[in-house]
Amino acid sequence: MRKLLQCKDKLLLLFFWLPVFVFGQDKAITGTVLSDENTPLPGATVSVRGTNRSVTTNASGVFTINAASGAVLVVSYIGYEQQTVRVGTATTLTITLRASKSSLGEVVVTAYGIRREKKSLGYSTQVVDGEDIANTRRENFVNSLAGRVAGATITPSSGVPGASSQIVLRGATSIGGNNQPLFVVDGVPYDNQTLNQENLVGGSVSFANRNSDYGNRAMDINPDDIENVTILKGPEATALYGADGASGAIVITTKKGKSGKASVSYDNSFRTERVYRFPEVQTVYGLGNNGIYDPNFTTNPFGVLGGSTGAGIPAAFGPKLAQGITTFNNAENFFRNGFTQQHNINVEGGSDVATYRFSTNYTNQNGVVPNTGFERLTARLMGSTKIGNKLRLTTSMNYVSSTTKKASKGAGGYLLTLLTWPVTSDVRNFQRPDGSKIPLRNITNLNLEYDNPLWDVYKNPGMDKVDRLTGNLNLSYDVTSWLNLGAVTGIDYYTQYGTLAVHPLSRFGLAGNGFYSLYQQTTRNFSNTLKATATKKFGDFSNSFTVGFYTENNYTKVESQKGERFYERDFLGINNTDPLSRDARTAIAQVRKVRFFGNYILGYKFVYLSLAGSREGSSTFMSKIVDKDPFFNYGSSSLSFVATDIPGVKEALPWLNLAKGRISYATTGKSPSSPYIIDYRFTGQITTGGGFAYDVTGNNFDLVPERSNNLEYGAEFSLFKGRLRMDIARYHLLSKNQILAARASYGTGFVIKWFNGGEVENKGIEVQLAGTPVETKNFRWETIFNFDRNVGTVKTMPASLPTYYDSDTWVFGNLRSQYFPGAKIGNMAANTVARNSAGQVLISPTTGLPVRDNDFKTVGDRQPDFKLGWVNSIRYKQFDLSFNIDFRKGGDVFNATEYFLYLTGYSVKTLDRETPRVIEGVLQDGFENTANPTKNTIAVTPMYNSSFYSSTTAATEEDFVENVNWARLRDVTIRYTFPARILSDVKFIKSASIYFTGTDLLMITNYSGADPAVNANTASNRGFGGAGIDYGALSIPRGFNFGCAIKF
Amino acid sequence: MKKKLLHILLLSAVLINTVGCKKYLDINSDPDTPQQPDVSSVFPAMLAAIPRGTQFDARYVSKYIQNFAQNAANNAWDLHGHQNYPNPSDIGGDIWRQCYYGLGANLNYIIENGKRKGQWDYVGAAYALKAMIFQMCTDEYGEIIYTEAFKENTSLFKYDDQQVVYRGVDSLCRLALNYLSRTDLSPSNSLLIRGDFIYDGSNAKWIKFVNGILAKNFHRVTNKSTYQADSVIYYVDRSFANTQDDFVVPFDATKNDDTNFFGTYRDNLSSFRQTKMIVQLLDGTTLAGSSAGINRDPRMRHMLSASNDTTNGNGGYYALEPGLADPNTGNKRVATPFGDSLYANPSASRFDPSRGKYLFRDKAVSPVMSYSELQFIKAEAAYKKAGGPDATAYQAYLNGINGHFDFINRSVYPRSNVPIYNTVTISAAQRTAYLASANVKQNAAALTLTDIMSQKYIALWGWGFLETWVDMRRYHYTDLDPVTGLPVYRGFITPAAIPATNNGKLATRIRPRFNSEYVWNLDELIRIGGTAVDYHTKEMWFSQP
Repeated sequence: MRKLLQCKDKLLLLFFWLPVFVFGQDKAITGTVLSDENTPLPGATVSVRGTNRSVTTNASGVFTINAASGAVLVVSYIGYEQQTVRVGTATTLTITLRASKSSLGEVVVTAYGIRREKKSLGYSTQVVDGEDIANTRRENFVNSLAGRVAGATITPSSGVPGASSQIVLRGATSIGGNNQPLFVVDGVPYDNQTLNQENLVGGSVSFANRNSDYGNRAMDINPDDIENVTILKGPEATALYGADGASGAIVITTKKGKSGKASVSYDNSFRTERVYRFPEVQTVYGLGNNGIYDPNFTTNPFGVLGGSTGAGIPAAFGPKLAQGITTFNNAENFFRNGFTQQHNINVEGGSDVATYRFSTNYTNQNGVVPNTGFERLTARLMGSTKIGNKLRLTTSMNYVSSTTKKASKGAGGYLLTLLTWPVTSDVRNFQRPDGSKIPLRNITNLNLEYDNPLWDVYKNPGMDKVDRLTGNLNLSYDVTSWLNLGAVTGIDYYTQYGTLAVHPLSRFGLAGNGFYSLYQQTTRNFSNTLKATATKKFGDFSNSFTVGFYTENNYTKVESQKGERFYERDFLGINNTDPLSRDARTAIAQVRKVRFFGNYILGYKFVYLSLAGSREGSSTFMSKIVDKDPFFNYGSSSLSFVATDIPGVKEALPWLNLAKGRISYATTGKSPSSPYIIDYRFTGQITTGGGFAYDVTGNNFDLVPERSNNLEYGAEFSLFKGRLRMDIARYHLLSKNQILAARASYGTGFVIKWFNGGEVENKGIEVQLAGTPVETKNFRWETIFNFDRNVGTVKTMPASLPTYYDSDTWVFGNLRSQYFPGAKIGNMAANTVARNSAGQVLISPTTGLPVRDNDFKTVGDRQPDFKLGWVNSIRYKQFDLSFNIDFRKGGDVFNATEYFLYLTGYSVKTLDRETPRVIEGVLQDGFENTANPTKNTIAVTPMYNSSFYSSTTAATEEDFVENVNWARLRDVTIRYTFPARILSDVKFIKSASIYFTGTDLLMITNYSGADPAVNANTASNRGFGGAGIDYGALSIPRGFNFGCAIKF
Repeated sequence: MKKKLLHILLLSAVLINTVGCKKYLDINSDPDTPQQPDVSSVFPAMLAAIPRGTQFDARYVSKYIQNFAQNAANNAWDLHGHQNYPNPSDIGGDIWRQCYYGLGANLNYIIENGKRKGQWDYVGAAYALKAMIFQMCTDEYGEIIYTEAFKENTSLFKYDDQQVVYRGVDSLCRLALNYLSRTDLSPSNSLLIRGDFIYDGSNAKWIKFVNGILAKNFHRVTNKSTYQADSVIYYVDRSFANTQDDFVVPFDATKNDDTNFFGTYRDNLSSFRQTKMIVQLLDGTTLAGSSAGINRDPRMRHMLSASNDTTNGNGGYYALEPGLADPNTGNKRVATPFGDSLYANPSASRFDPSRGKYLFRDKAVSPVMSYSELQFIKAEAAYKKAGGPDATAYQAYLNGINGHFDFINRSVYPRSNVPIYNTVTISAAQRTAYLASANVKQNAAALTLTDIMSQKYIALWGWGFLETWVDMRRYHYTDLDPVTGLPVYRGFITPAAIPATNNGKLATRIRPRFNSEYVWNLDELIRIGGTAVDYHTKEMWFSQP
């Protein structure tokens, strides 16, 4: 510290730029007031301190006022922090106002960056402050939104580094399409794909989006660059975004440089992570069958290990483990402490004419699973300049480079094998000195058991590397005081390169004598927006009219290769594979869209009417064979009524600051999310003679846009000077003509067929209640409750299908995400125990165990009854404490991990195995449906009849569906900011703070498994996806972050 | 000025909309896979798709007809059960898959696009294949989707009665013949020879093939009063003239997908064993009354596998009875179909064209229709027409036997597929000796239905599963020959342990594909009784009087 002080003069030279003050006579000062978005703020108030001189800015945010040099101008605008500017020699000024932090802010960014006063909006929106997101120190910022947004459901696929995370706003509306919202960064769509594994070449290792995770690309956003996030939920809010915004939009505004002295800030974070939630396994009984010791006895539930004789999981159906026998804590020996470090440096500054901001972030994470990690470097440069008085230009460049090292998941992945690893065997003995595999059982056919978990993570590694460059250009031109023309151009370009290797001695590598897959995904998205906005006030009528034109050109190419039959056993690489085994594949998706949009907002005193319409054309409707119209229209209308603006109301009810009612109705259209499905779809054949044949998924010339109709109404209140605020929204959303690829009778000519049709209804309520219970000079407590409830129901099925299921979700046993007419959107269907006509359980007369019904019946709904997020921020003197608790009530989760453990004898539910029992039910002896069925009296002692557990009939999938409630302490941050007087000696430090942040510290839940908030698939899954199916996914580890933040 | 600007902006927007945008959006064609390939690129895939159906389902049909039996006891198919129905399973559903998806929809593409471009040869051949696959489909499953097949924007498909499908196959054949006989082919488009690796684009052979389908279509209703034997004979006579006309699908055998499903690499027959029925037909027991050396069929050493132990009285050809597994051990075990003295697959997952036997090699053809088969159809038709022994029937019977000898002896196949005879062909002397043996009737008057059907069974063994199954169902497996008073199919063993749900009946149909009909077309399936536990024993329309 002392050294730093000694060179303070030099640092001063480096960082300080001192304005020169000259005092003089009054002169005309002309200035422009801009938002931190660099958009003009019409109607801002500019006054000269100490005088009664005051003016407001015009539609272009321009003002003229007389002031003397050295006088102080006070600039204020509703929803923004007030700013003061000292008048210098310059006669033109640019003043940038920062949006105020209140989450019920007064001005919000809507579609295409259109800023609107919140009170004029006919729908609910929510803004999350960037600082709150950054403070969580989560690498994937999507995860930090959990609990902070009413109506958002966030499901990470697991707790390993680089895992993808799925976000759905207001419930899934599409049973087979994409339900994720559009991400927009500074007016430019930000690609949030998750690599679809089905685009890669499989082989002896199959690819169905289950065994590997590729991240969701919105996680490339550096959380520290986020100024705020506006969540646009209903179709009305996003009507102008068209098909892309039909599932909502996450509109991100990044931080901009502030004019004035250059400032440098640095902060860091050091985190340790620990897995603390595991599915419980029993350690009382050892290996064997029917209570008899047999280390070679296996069970093979649902044939997970294939049909070979002897294949399976060593089952724990043996006798009690002897006292004093050596046992191993394999979980302890497997996992390690994760460690992450993050460093952020920001430099910003500028003059009246130009500002800039440069930020860089480095993150390096070592996961709790050995040989996994995540490393990311981001750099962002943002500049803003003014050319003349009328033209403003903002540009940004962002580069991200990230690398994920990952392990497999799901069946055969490390977690399930670890859980079923016998306690009598040390998991660390996984290879011999020569690098060959040590099987658990003394077998030579390594096909018969899963890999040792440590073998799996070290020998079957996966890797993804992303290089991403995004840039945008934002031009704003004031033609006149009432007319503004704007243009935004963006490019989003990245390559994602990845490999996946399966060792020749691994369970899944054995068939092909090694398997190596590599791919390169290149995504290049361009977008352009042109818009004109006219704003004019006629008497009491305010008018704002926007017309615009938008185009985008999105291109993604995945080139993948695979090879098998390694020459060198331990060398991982495509050149080490048999050339005859190599296959290559290219998958290109190119989509273009054009959109014309218009929005007219009419305000009269306390009423605002908004009308919007769009005409959109999507290339995914075009055909070379039939005549298709790629265009479709949709629109919205809304009304906002601000009761407190009625003259006299505020006077009569002084405690009521805002009372607003609103209603909106909107339609949206959605084009197919996949290209090339209108015309015939062929795939290359590798059968004799080659050539082409129809793809399993049949095209459909007749597809029409998906439609949704949304009615939303609600109210907002602000009481006691904003100390208590409330926002209620109810909505009813009907999605029709769903476009989906569904299995049907082969009578269609295909296995899967693109269909149009079906209706899904989503009804819900969202409440945000915010208050500042305490506010004194030294103590402030702000608390926000985010409540939401959504019920999605499939009213009719597309093309009268009797059922539709998502085969990717069929990960274990016979349970899958499946819909029937009338089913809930989170429906799960599974096999159950068979029952007679009176509903009694049927028992096999030979075994005394129930009979399985192989029909798929509804066994649960994964939609929660309600969710509640509770966000608190407390300031006491120099201390800031914030924490976020996320409650969920209801919603079913299939604990497939537990079922797997049950069938293999490791579940704690098998501990009562020595208790004889008679299963309640009637014998299936031919009399089961008569008036006098034979009551079951066959006693079973599971200890001596292991098929009680392993037969998959005594307990079916249904028995492992749990209705889950939870309370999670998501993020806790305590920060101490050094008081200014301490820092006053160290002149170059403007501010400094130290903090602690804990993530996922605690969860209270009735869930018997590790973590109910996981996804059996990746975020690329369509429809409701694999959320709520817990199979071999790692729970979210607990993290402790420490760090400091310094601003120079 | 400012207003002008706005006007210009609005006007240009409208213009762009109507003219430019549609062009800008016109990129919805996959750059990496053609979406409108020439029919000559689709046609080869259709030929390769045939064995994908016939061979996959042969694993089950072949057991019903006792071409093969499982090496383990109580196999569901050996016992005429249906693999634990109602457990969900797609097994036995591959002809269903190929009828609508593998071939069906693709053939429609060839027909539509071929018509557009004047490629009449492709159109005709596609109609021929469509007729073939629908005939197979209805013969395997009974009531199937025919008139409503391939309908757009629906998931409900009505089943048609078998007779509707039969009439449909007839019409498809007429269309095929019509297009195949056209000579006004568009010269600018590729000809059938480009995609047809079976007949090298010979319209004449395709026409013969269509006549063969018609012959079968007309012949299947022998039990009905409306049966027209003359028509059958008419079509057979316009069909294959010798074994060079046989419709056989070759394999390239370079990787899994282009290799014979019955070959060693793909390893699907490792648990399959020859049955007592075929062994006794070939070793002389059934047809000549004893397995003395003189009675042994010279074809046996090419078709079946001998064990190491040759002391069993027929040269070492051990056999299984359905459902009973192998009672012997060591050298007396029944060998696998892959070769003599082999008790396991010699090269599973490893290409070795020298391995395997008869049609069970990586690079051996999968036959679909043969000259010999059609001659036996003619023989039976003539016999039925005459109401007993008949000269035409006898000649066709001899042609059938000779045709099968030629079938085994054939040395040249499309795409250089390997011969199926075992090392050397059957010599003329061996053939003459066999034709003079007690296995073969020496004059027309002595001919019985058993002779015709047994020789046909031999000729179709190992490939013509569906045809044999049709025949056996027409004779209800165990019908007696009114002339001899003995079963037509001598040597067929009714399994002792037929599942109770069969109610004593043998299987007569396979259930429609599970993950098509039982899941997504259930209402229709219920309408025809498809969910009954004994649906697979419901008699077919074609075999009813």
